[in-house]
Amino acid sequence: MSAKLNLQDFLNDIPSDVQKEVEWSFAIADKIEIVLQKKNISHKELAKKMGKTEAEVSRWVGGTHNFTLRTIAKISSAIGTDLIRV
Amino acid sequence: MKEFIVKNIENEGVVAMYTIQFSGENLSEFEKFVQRFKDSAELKRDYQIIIYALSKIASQGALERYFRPEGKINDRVCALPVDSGGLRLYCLRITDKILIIGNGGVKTTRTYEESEELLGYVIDLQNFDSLIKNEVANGTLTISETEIENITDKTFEI
Repeated sequence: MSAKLNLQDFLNDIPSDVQKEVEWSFAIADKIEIVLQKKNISHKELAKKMGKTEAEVSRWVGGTHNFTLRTIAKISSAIGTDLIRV
Repeated sequence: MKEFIVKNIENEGVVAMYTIQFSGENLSEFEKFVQRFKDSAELKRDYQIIIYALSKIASQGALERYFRPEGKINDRVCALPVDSGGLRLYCLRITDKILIIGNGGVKTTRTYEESEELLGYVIDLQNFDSLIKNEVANGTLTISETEIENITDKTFEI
């Protein structure tokens, strides 16, 4: 490897499906966080409303969570905003 | 004592990214992580998720919620995890715009302290964090909004 490091050099071999997975996970995480802030709902309140732990909510907004459709639907219902549109 | 330098990881985003390289070694800690996991049969996808997540962080900011706190309450050590697996990349999140990337590995124990390997990576970053705090306090290192000034010109010992 060269003495000079460039992040782009490490991204060249990342397959497009992995890129999509991370892009979507970050997009959903960011949307959850934006809606929570807009509606002034804390992670603790969302966790309580959904019967989950705060640690679980932290994982959802962390950007690398592998969401299931069921989780997306449950979060969408809890925050009153659809996280994805088909 | 271990001597090391700090190397810049250039990127097109808004986050200044650095890694450390110990004296006598050919690769930085981040490059060692890459070399170890990029072709791993079991962990290649988790490695790719972490690397691509780094590029998202570079463009969006090193926000606290993207990381999992891993060190002690009074340090800035955190991990970039893959939620579905055990691979962790340890970092020092100095600010939303400054990130120092260390080495990482697979967390197979309940806590990082139970793994000699992971504990070593975390302790290196904890010691560097203390050093940065001391140098900032005595004026030999300056953290601006977008970088740690002249950090790549110095040699450190932990």
